[in-house]
Amino acid sequence: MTSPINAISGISSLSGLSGVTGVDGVSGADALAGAQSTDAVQGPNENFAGLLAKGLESVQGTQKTADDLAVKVADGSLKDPAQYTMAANEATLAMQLTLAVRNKALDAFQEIMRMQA
Amino acid sequence: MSTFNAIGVASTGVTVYRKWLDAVSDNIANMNNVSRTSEKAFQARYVVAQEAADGNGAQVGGVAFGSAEGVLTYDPQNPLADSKGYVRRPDIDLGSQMAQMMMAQRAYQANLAVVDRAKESYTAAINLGK
Repeated sequence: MTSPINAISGISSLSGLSGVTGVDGVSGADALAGAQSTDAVQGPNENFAGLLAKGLESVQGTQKTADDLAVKVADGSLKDPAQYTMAANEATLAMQLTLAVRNKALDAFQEIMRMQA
Repeated sequence: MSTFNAIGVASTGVTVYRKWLDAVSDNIANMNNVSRTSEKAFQARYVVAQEAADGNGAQVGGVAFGSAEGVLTYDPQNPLADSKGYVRRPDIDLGSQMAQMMMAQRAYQANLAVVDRAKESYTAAINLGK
């Protein structure tokens, strides 16, 4: 379940998204920062690329946890299979969230590229 | 853990109730043990559930043990019987263990239901952004 996700490590190429920081309009997301108390949102002045990088790191963490547990399930050392299924769930959700954010950012970028002077 | 906290918290609950089920199965497995009167009877295991140290969910704080004295039973045929014909059996009530098993099972399922609902909710929130 989680192995195909290794392919997504290619997502690190996303760092090319730092181009998005040029979009000042996105800093309008500052208003959102107040509404979110997640650890990823440290302060209102953090740029989008930083947030994305931090998010990707945490996604990578959940993937790794799920992968480790999958190995433990396979070799029979995991007493509680529910731990694995829940970690896999969490990894899937984190992945979906990342993709949703990435797609939104890409949409915004393309929208701006389509703008006529 | 931080992004999808409900799942992490529910998983601590799942672990606690899994351990309770383990303890109950241990008790039922050893329910009919017989020991000499000079020895200890099998002591029932009870998990001590408490709030998690980091405040997120529950944890098993330790294990409490039931009576080591058990119940003295007259069974002179038993090879373990003492000179007066008594043996020691654990003081475990099958009815109570069964009730505990049902409670642990239902609570385990309840925690998994929380995981299920949390996943549904998170998925809905993510789909909102698509």
